[in-house]
Amino acid sequence: MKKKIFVSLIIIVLLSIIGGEIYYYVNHNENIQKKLNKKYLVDITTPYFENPLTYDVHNLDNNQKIYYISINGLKNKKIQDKINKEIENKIKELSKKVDLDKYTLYTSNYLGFENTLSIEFAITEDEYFDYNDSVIYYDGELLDTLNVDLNTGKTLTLLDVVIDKDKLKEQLYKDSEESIYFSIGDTYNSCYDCDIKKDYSKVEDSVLSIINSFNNDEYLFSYRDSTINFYFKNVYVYNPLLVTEYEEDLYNDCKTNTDCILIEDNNDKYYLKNNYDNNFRISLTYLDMLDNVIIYDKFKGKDIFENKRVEIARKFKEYDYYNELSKCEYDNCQYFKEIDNTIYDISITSYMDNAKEYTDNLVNKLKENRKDNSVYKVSCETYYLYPKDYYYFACSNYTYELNKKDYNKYRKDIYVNSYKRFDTSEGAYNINDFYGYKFIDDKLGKNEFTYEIINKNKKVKLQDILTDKIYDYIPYDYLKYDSKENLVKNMELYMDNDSYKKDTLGLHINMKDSKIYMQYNDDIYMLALAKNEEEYDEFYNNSEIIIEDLFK
Amino acid sequence: MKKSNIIITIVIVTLTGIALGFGVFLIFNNHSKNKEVLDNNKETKYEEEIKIDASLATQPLTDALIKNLTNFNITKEYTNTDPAYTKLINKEVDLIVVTEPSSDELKRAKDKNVELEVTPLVNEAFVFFTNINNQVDSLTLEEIQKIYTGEITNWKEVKGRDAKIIAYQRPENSGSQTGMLSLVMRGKKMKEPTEKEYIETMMGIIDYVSSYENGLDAIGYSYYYYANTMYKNDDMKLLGVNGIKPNNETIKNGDYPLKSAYYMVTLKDNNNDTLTKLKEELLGKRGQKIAEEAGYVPLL
Repeated sequence: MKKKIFVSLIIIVLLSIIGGEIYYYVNHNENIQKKLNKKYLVDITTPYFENPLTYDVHNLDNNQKIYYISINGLKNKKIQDKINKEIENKIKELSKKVDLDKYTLYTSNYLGFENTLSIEFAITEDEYFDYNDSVIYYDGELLDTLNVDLNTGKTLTLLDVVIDKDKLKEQLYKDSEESIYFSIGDTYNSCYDCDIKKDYSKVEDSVLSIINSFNNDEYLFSYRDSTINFYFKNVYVYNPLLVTEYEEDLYNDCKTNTDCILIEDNNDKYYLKNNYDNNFRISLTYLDMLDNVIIYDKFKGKDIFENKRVEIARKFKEYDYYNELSKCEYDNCQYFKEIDNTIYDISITSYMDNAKEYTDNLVNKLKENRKDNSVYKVSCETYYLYPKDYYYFACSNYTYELNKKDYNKYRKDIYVNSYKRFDTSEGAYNINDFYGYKFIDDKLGKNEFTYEIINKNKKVKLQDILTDKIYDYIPYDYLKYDSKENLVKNMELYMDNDSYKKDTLGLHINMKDSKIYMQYNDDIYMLALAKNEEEYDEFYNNSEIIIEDLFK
Repeated sequence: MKKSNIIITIVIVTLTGIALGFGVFLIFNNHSKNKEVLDNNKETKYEEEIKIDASLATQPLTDALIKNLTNFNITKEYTNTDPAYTKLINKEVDLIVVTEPSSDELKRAKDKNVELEVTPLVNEAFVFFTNINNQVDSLTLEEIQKIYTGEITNWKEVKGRDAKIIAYQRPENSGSQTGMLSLVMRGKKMKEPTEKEYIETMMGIIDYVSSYENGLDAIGYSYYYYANTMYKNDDMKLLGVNGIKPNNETIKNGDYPLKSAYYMVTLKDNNNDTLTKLKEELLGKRGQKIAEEAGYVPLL
């Protein structure tokens, strides 16, 4: 009997040792972790939960220069207290390092979804800083972050957000390169009309510096429900400085400094000075790395909150400008639906507040002629013609005809592309309004442009008018030029996205829709229609002749 | 002995063997990782601070050296090539890891009455890449020059398929373009790139070259370190030059023709013993091994 007990004990001890070793091995082997984590890969067709935490704002020791939050709403108060203590300790620790005469220290950009929470700690010099207005988007200098698993109170690592750091690095590389490219472009563009060759030569080195910091784990990260944000402190990101004569010291220094490039703009002289910024902040969107994101599903599960969780019908809420995929609001319809192996992606803006009527008609028309495995991307807008009794309703209709295999292959990308939006100070824009479905451009079957001239008062459609006659509608007496000759003489050609000069009539060629407008301040007139890219090029290359022809 | 006892004994022995074996494996694994650290502990400690600056391209190398050479008290003060030379000339740092000094930098040193000691630290090479499915595996230097002067425009002229060559170029003044002009073109004028052949971002070129549909006829260039560590991708390959493929071995032994280097530069009159020891260490077996592990081609 004793022998049996002894043997059993030995077996239990040995099994425990083996179990412990296996546990250690599994938890310390990145490859095994990757395989285990694959089950958490994000599925954008399923909902996720926004968590119902509430936040209280405090001042540390009543100091109006130090704001921090505490969380409420976890059922497990021990974990809640632990997290709150951690936030407070972090803010205490940071407050010792910050010059509070100069800066305000605060917790910012905090967001919880599923059973996680991410908080940023930042400082600002803004003397008008209002904490209540500035919680989410305030753009201060980041000092630290805290990313927490609300199930356990443990801190999250990058490998809790994504499976594969190398894949994330690739995305970081791509996005950093584009971001630096644009920031360099911005600097040049700030010099209006400067005739200079843009210089992108330092982008590669700047990105290397960022990637090197990433490799050395010298970064901070936080995340939101659609993006992961990185902050690099000691990198050397090329951010050239435009030096004007008003900055006397810099300007004089530039006269002899080989780091400066001289720019001559009519009678003005500027310098472009080599400049390195050692702060770099970048957001990567989950949409660009769906085969790598696990943070949603790894931390979902049991309901750990006192209040009811809010189910979000789709992921990447931040991009959901209209809250639903298909929605009409008076003058605007965003319609994205998949019906019988056909995707309809329609965007309509009608100043007549009848966008829904147009959308319904259009969908019915497309349905009648539909082909299996096709994608219809249509965008329509109304433009007033002068006299204002008339407007025209114009649609660009892109049809992508796919086979079944390609349809299934690209379906996810099409959905993703439709979710994807970018924010500007004027609001959110849908990415595919600008870029379409680039990844299936070679499958583009038809690219039709249709339009109707409509009498606003009578709502009667006039007969189709040949595009080369539309100029007849332009009331020359409305324009600042007193004759056609003067009008033509003062016309200028603009490409898509170029900014317009005030009070100048311009012939505007829109690359995406391959049509030509004439723009006078905010009013647009369509003058000609390019049926294909060749015709568009021809229009562009012969713009002067076209202008003359149109106004003969 | 009872049969059951024999079975129990075998089970216990087996389990013990597995447990011990696995434990030894884990300990050994851990030991290997820490070996370098342990080795460091045996080294002489140098307390005197050595300040280092480096160009952006060599900062990963310098980081790796600092991380591993823990017996030295190294402080990094990174900027980039030209400011690093300025700091060295002004004696603000002790050592810089950079590309060769330009004539301007040499002049600035002379003006300050200091002499630069320039020593190769690791090898570097200039490489060309294409899509993995491109039929061409190697080009002669002359063929490359002719592609970029515009004399060769079709892959069939270099034993490839009948298709126009899309020869990407890099922005003027970028490190890659400077290398292309000095190491490859050697005075020959490069053709003006078409709009398609000029993409500002390197990832743009990599994406293009890697794409089967679009990239089959494209060719791009970069430095070996960048191509090997930053842009490595299963859909692209490095081309041989004069029949020699670029790899650590061919670059190290000088067979690959488009070779350059990264250098450590100090001031000749700096007789700091710790600095001398550090330089010996960087050029020695250990320093070169660290460089190789960081993705650079060692000298040894």
